[in-house]
Amino acid sequence: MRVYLFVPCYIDQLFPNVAVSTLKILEHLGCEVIFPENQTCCGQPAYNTGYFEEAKLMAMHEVKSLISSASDNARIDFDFKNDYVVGPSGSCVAMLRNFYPGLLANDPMFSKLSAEFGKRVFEFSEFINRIIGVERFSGKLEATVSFHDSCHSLRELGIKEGPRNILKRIEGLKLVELPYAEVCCGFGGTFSVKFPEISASMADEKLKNLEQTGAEILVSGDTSCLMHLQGRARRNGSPRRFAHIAEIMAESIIGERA
Amino acid sequence: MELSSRNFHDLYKTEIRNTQLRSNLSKATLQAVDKRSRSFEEVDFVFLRDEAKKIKQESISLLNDLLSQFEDKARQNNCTLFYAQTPEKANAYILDVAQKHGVKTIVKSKSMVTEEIGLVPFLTRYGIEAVETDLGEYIVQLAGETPSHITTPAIHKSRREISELFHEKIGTVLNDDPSFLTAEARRVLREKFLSADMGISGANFLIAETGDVVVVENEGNARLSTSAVKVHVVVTGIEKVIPRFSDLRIFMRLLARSSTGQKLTSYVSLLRGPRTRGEKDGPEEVHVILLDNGRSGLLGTEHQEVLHCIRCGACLNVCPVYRNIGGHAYGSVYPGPIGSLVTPLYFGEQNAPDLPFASSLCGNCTEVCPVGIEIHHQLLAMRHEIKSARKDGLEKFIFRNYRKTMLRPGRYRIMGKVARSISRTPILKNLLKGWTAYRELPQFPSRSFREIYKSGQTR
Repeated sequence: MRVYLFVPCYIDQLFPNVAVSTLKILEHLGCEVIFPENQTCCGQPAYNTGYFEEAKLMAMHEVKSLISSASDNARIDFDFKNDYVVGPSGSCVAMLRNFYPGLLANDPMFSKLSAEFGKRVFEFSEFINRIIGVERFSGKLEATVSFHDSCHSLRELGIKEGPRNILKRIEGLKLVELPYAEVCCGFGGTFSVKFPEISASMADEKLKNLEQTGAEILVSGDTSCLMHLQGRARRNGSPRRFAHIAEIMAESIIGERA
Repeated sequence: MELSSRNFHDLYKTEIRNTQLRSNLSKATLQAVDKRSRSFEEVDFVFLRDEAKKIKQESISLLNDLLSQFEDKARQNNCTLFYAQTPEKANAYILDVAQKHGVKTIVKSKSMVTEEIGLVPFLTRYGIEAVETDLGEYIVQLAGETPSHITTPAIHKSRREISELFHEKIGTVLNDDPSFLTAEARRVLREKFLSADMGISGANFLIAETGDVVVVENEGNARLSTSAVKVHVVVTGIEKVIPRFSDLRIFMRLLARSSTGQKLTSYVSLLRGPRTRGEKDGPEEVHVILLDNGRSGLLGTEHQEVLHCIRCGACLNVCPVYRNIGGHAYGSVYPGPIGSLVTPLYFGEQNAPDLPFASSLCGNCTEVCPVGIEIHHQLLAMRHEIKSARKDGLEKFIFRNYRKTMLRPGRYRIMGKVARSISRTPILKNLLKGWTAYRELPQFPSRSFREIYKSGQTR
């Protein structure tokens, strides 16, 4: 199974370990992984701030780049019947899958392409559950964790049980449900810097609920929420760990080997 | 009510520091969310929502026809109809009716449209007392405030605060037992009902087929203020009309559950004009005022579906932004997610330029909307309109350059490297003030993923 790895820009630049872990797990589960080098940013920050024209240009660039393994985008070698695009971010995947078709609807070349493309795009945990089969994964890690549902994963992509089913495949891992798990953490992209007081206050609510779980690690499929929550937790003096589900999975397969 | 949404930044910064307010809101809204979810366990929300959406789509796309149909029926039922283009015209008409009847005291039941047109302060200026008879509205009126929620106007107040308010304003003993406070309010309000010459209400639905005005409530005050008075004035928006009587069966299942988590409200009044010969009670005159105030301007635009709203308040209760700042911060009678659409759409985008941005776009509002309004996608579309209309500025410059960088992978790689290399310097911290004022920056790695990948060290 061939996977074109979609690495959102902030993961590429700030959280490379999330992408490395995603790559490792996909290969561990038998995928052939290609990293298309010309990909940059899906354009979501521009889109959500209302700059649709800027977002549209980035969307075109991103679609073209993600279906080509060549460094100059010269050759489209993506097989729309058999290949997949997989990314470790529900939010950016929602942009590619749910919002690109609308954004590019009036473009003669991209309207059809983006719809076809969208059908092949999967969020990491969703890909494991729906395409690979979660039973093919197992690991071992002693930890108590809670799972954070990002709003885009939950409401745009309908992801709820999938990541939990993955975590349940890890021996020694205890999953404690977060109270009010479906309430937004307050990140919201540029919302977090436009209205920082509200955003931080929402993070505080989430962190207060997290206190109640006794979890050592807050796990999520979206590193953007985690970056915000961790940033707030550090400011409040909390050393708690925040990790992407791919990182936990990668650690657990090392644990299993040992 | 005077609109102060332009000052949203100042307003929310003050409100968010009020810990008592946040605790009141958090308690009340989370309880409401919980009750709502439980009340929908026994019915099929998605089915009902889709049906309601269909009816509302039909209602709004046939708005003019349905309004004429309603008008004919209501006239046959001996109601007097008045279309008001603006709040001023609505207010002037109501004042005229009141003055013709020599009205001194008006009993008023809940109506967001009367808030929208600023009716009560207007009448007060002409020496007419309009008393709010809905308990929440009464509390807010006593406090000299405005409602902070569409369906629970005093949601921002705790029991203790209400008890202190009653003590100060109507001389009750300090006792924060809700049934005691309700009884005290009722004692005062009964007198008002007995002495009032006129009643004003809103309407939840107007039925084109029959000319019925439907009023949904829990306290019986709306029934009293619409039937135990000589003159009844209905003030509502043109978008409230629905085609058929039978459509109510869908909305009745959705409205109370969405707003208070009840199966049905305690009272549902179907008002079909003044008393007829032989009837012993009911008003002698009924006036129905249909307000436009920007509504018809939405017809045929991509925001038309905002007119589907039945004002249940569910989107406010689930909204984490609303929960943190409260309704007054929005500077408009319509707060929360739906308010962030209605306010700029009715009163002009230039008067509420920040509201469509005051959302993390989490989508919880859309998820609970009983008529299927895509609230968060509507907010996004408004952001686009606002940014497109705005002149070039720093933000536009930043986004243009960000796009230019992202279209050139080579430039992106270099910019990424530069940003990471200055991450520990005050320059970046300063650039990212909005972030760093409240949160730490993550540890910036020395190498990006693509650098690690290129070096072959991903294994």
